[in-house]
Amino acid sequence: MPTHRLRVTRRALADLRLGKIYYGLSAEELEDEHDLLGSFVKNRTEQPYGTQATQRVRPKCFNLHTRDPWRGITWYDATHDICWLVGATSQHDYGLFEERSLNDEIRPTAEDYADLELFSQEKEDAFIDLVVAQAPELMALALSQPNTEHRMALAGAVDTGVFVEVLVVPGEGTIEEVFVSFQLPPVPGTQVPSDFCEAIFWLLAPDAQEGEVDRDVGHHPRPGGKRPGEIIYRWRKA
Amino acid sequence: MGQPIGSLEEALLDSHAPEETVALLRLAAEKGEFCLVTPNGEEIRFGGVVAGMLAEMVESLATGQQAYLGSASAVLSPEDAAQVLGVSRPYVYRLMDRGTFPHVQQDAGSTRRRLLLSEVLDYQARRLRRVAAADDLAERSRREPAHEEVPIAELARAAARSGNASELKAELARRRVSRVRSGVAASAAARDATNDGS
Repeated sequence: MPTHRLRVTRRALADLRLGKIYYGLSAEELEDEHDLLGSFVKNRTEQPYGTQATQRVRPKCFNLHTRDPWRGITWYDATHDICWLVGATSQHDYGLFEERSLNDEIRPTAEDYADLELFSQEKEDAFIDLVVAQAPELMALALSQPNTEHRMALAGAVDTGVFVEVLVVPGEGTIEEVFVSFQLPPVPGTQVPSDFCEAIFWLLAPDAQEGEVDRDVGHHPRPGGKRPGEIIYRWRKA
Repeated sequence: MGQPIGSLEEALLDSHAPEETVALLRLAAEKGEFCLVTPNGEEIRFGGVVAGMLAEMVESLATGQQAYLGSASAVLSPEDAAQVLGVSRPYVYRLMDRGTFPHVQQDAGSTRRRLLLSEVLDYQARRLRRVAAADDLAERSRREPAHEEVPIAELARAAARSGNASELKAELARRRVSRVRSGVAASAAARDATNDGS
């Protein structure tokens, strides 16, 4: 299943005469706003590269067609797994992009990468303060009632579950495994920074040691197991 | 629909720069009163709240946004809302279906829907705040030097124990800047590569 995201640069939005209010939205969100955006989503969802490379343009881009006269070009940022629509034209040719390439006006800018951020600084700061206040209660409850999942919408936003499983291991006695799971609100085409989940986990489990923690765990001991889109940490308590 | 206020030129007839006018009006709002002098010398006194409203209006016009005069309870058709926001009508329907505007009204005996002007303007303000935050972040990524990462675990543990998360928040903020810088660096490397390997 493809994992890459589809995004549109501010320059490409301006080319399509779409204004500021659209900045930072995923391509899926924008696909009905212009034929070329519909074509972008249709043709790059499965495969971030196109079939026809754009001539004399750096970085290496691929042509994108739609109903005449609109044309666009896309660039795949393999490092960040994002396919960008980096430019569009109603001139039915790709000459504009060649000229832009000479001026280094093809690739996404710092503003485009900043638009990828899911939370504003202000929102994230407020969120962290609330998690600091709420986390001890959730963890204490889960530790006092093992084998039951306790869930709380931390800071009113991130549905977080803590499940403490007590295992009897021959020769070792009992071991507690703490499963912390995050069900983040689904926002199409967005990605939650791993630093953010990392911060919540350690606020919940400050006594854990690095060597006792597994990230991106593929299962959960609750009935029904891991849920789609869930991020799970496991703390195997010494 | 609220009454659109025309251009900045129509709104400001004196020689003050818009920023200067906004600053004066904000000062009046803080002081709690201001006085309007008519051409024949008559004085009309207003409370600071009116100065605050005028400051908002001039600031909006000066930054290229539309300004509207209307009550918070004024209602708009989806077509009008699209015009206010500068988006397509289908996009407004999409936002309505998603619950972006909590108090969408439906005309009795009809499928026509109406939106509160205040909610439409709130949405616009939220979006523009987000754009401004991204602009600020991009600027920081150009200005601030690269930093050495401090483990999140260490800072979060300290925050959990002390109840003070300022160091953790500062580290998360620096990493946010690093993510932007990393994106720009990746695109520059791809531009300079002789073979993109696709």
